[in-house]
Amino acid sequence: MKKRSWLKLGSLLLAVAMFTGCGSTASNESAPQTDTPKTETQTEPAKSDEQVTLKYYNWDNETMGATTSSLIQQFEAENPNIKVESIPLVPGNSTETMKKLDIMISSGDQVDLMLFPNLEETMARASQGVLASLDDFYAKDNINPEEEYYVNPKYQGKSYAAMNQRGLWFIMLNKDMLDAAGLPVPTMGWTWDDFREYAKKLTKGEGNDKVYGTYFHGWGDYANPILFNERKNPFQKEDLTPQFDDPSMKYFFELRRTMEKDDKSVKPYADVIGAKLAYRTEFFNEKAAMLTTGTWMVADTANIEQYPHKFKTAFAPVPRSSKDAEEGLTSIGGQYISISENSKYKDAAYKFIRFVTTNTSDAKKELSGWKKADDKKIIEGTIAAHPELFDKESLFNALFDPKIKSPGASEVAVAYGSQLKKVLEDGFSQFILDNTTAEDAMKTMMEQANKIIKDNTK
Amino acid sequence: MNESSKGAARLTRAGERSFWNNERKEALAGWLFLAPEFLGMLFLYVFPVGFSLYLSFCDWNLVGGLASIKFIGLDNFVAMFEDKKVLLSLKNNLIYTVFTVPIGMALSLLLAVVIHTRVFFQSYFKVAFFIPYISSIIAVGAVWSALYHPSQGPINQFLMRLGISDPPKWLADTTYSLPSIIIIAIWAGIGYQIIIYLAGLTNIPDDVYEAASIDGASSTQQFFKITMPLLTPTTSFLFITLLIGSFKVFDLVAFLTAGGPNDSSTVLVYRIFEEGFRNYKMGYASALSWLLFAIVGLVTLITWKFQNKKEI
Repeated sequence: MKKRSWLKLGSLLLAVAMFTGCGSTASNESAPQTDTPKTETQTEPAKSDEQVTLKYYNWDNETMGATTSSLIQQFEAENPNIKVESIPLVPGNSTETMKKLDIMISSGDQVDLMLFPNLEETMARASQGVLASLDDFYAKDNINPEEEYYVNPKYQGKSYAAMNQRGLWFIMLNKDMLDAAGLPVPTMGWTWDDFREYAKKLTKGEGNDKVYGTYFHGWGDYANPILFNERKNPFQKEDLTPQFDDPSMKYFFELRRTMEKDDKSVKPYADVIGAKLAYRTEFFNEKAAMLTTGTWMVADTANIEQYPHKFKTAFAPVPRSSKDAEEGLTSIGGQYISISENSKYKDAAYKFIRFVTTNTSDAKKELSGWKKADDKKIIEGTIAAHPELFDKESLFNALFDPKIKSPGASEVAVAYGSQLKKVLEDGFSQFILDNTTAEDAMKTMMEQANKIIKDNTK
Repeated sequence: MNESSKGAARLTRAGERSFWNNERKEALAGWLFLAPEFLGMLFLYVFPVGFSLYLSFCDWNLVGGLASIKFIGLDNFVAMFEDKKVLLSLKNNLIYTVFTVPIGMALSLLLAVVIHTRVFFQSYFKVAFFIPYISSIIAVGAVWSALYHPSQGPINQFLMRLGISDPPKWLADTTYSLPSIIIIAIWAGIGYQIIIYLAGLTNIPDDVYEAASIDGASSTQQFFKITMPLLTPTTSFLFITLLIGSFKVFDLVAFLTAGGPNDSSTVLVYRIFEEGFRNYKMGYASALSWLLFAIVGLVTLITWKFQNKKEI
């Protein structure tokens, strides 16, 4: 008898433990629900003696991580009561990081600060109401964000992120190969037709040793860079209708086919996606003489531990679509930092955002998103380790030519930009792999884009 | 059970007859012992399944948190039959199943018989064919994507030597991406099927074959009249598991082609992944996973019925 009652008691205890266990998970699950409607900035005022720890999510690899930890050290020295924990979710991979981050937010984990790789990802979160608006903080500090940052991501009139880093497109050229072919570094105002000629002249060799004139990566950005550099929004017009019937589409698609099939000056698209090539290796291993890319590659060029190479790199602005097009247009993208709507320490988080975005110490290696930063000094610092690898004059021209500007701020702020980008990538695959006409590909793309837009606006 | 309850009843003292007699008490103890397991089941299986069924009637953007779940009735189920990508993925799934299951089974049966009867170093061959099955599918995929390389891969180099000037671009080809994946899937799965078949073959007694050859049956006759019929249980086991497995193919597609190029190799599970975790349409993705459940359930039921009839 005694034995049995012990068993019963034991099992009862177990059951109770189970139930309480479940009970607490259940209350955890409902936590974000009750938190979300609290839109007002009801943050606990950060008392000077109170210790808070902010969790900052990003995708830092080793290079970026060094910058971040140096910035955090400086910040913690100035603000001893705030600790910042930097958590790279998937180092070096922003796409996967975004997926993990979404799951963490929707499951109610502590997320205070997050970094976004581009405007689309920022807008997608802003439209879902998971970001806190920065307007009240700006107002409190008497700051006009338009005077502070190059781009202020706005959803329904409110700012939701501060620009941490600015990026623009340029062409990287292998200066040694350029010299061997007797070509000058291209300058502002050159066109994609000139680009094609350069690629043709820079192509040499056969088989495994072949050096291609240029390399186009598998991303939608390379299917038609004109959309990205010379239109306000790459995929949509201001009235939200898709832009895949743009005249530049046919021109660039056909340019890519000519370069691949006739000039043989670019690695076939099938090889790019079939072998999952990496664009950094193609350029730094001298498999391609030119590369269309962006400012983040400046730091990589100086990083010869990770990308060993000995040649000098020259830089040129993005080619324009034709001789009549405006000079110097490039898409000015960037990385943005936001505060989570569910953060309990919004004031501290805002402090950190301002500190990081306006910091001008040596730790910063990329162009700043802050208008008042001395970008030239930052770039000098970035290339200081290996100045012999840079053609400095062309680099500064490609980055700081006064003619460089973005095609204008777009009012288009949608959450489905990445789906439209996939339409562009699929359409280009269809065109180049199935040998359809540009018109057919454009027609399919328009249909798919219209469907996506319709599904998302009902 | 009966014996023990009688024993328990004998132990009961008079005057203690309340609602909680010993039988009930024991039952309660039993249930409590089972409770952790059942609760685990409830929260790990029943709750998610029920939740996904509910979600399939909702519109839910994953990023928006639980608050953004919106009930929309049957809209998801209506939309999926008008969704060209879903229909394409169903077609691809069907092609994948029709090719991987029969070809894989036929090949593995053939190889199993050959290994079983006419080869020295049996165990070597068993291991050789089994290695792809135990290797990580990602490693296998990486090796194959090197073999499939459109211009420098060994396969296309060989084809070009043979004089084919424009060989298929395999994984980077809108026509050949799915066949390329099917070939890898058959190759990687065959080891497991061979092992199962070999087990079946060793269970067939040798004297049956002896008697048959004394009666003058050729080896072809022996194969069709003895080996095949006696392997029926093995065959039907493999058939059902492979069939179900083939509908759930995901890893190879996700790693090698990501459903592309131009969605030519997309399959249903990959669509579920893409709608749910790329486009954040959790409701739609849940509806699609219930479509998958319905298909797999239906196929299993049909094969089951068919099989039971045969065995009786």
